[in-house]
Amino acid sequence: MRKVLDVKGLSKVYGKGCPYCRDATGPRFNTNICPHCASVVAVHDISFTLYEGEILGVMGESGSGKSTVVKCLYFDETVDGGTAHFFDNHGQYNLFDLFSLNAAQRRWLRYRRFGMVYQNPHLGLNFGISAGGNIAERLLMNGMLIYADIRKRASELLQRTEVPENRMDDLPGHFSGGMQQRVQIAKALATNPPLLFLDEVTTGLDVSVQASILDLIIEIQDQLKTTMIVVTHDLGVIRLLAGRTIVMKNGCIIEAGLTDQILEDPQHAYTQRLVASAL
Amino acid sequence: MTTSPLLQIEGLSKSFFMHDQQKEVSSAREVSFRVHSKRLTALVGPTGAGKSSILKAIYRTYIPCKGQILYRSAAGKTVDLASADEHTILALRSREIGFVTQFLFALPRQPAIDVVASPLYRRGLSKADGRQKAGALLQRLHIPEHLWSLSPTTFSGGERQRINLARGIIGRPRLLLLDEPTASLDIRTTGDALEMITELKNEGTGILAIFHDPDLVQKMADTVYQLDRP
Repeated sequence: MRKVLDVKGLSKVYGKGCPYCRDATGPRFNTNICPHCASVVAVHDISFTLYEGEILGVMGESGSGKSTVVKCLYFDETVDGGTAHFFDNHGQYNLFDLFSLNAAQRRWLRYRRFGMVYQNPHLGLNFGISAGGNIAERLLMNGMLIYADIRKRASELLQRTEVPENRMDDLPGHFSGGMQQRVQIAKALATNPPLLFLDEVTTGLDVSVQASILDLIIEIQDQLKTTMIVVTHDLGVIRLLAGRTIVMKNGCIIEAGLTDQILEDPQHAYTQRLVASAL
Repeated sequence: MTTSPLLQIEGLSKSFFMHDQQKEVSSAREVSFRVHSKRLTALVGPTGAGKSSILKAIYRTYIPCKGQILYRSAAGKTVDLASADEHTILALRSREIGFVTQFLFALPRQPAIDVVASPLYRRGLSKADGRQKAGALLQRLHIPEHLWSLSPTTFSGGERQRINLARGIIGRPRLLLLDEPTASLDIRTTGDALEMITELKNEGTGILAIFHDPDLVQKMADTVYQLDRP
């Protein structure tokens, strides 16, 4: 099995920070706000590896730092500590130290090798241009310049994500929430990225729409073997999608393991409570 | 003459610490036994003796607290399932170790035939080939063909159990863990299920099983291991 991502000691602090931040926050203190300088330690010392084709679940309540982890990896946020290596096999074995790259290198990874689907479609889509246009934007950045090719690929992607083809030229704002998510997924898949980040993609949708989005994700994983990080607070999503799971609280990983083990034999008090309170 | 065992369990203990009640519950203590290829080892003992817990500890659904679970892999290596890393466990689960639990967990909205074939898909088999093999198993287990395209969530208890068994058998695992695989089957389908389990064993699979019915233990087991409440 090939390693795709290796994250070590990822940390992110909002605020000026002080020497006590790291030792005065975390699950032990049940807070991620530093009592000395009031900075927010969003993420502290997160390490994990990811292998090709697997889906890693990142679970935790609001404010646990789970979204910050993927936002840092996707360069939406800067980091304050740690390294991340991305291993790519197109052509040759490339090694990136993700967090020390220049802006151009980051853009290249963001647009060509990674995909991101946000909970809020406004973050992932440009609402000023059509659904097809959103995908075209991504393809153009990848050097696809012939109009007919772009249109063909965009329509393929929308078809795969079950967005009716005749709505390709409509604005995302005229779509339902579920369909906006499908367009976001289509856009994220445009360049066939080997690594996909999914941040609470089903949160706030109707149950039936949630089901169809989850089915789509399973199908994509099945056919394209895309490696994914799925961030969610929903145990059902974790059970359905993730082979392995990380549980976060107050910016730290409190436990990690095989998903069935996390759900059936949780070790940490917080995870036990979480699993026991599932509906 | 003894061949080296497929699975050797040494001093396995499992307990659960419930944080909200600050209470420790023990479910297995200092258990040791072996499982050989081409043999069926049955775990017997009263309810609460930790039979299912031991199967789950071998499969790493539970984290063992103490002891070793030494598995001899197809590559000839000895892997301690109690401490092997997660990716090693996942790889063994997809290629070598099967588990038929008491209750079926399958992706919702997935046709029964694909649920059964899913271990083969994971190994890269095409949908057509997978479905053909799954269909043959379902036929033998008397699941009517018009049900194959439906999700097993709509099935009866007995039908679901047969789907579960078929999925466990289809990948021809080297080690198969069975937790009451025939508990809700009638006499005829129980006979078919047992026949398939025996076939798999004769092909070389080592089987560790829990049966609710002492007659089945008598009939199926080559070795019996008795457990008592911890």
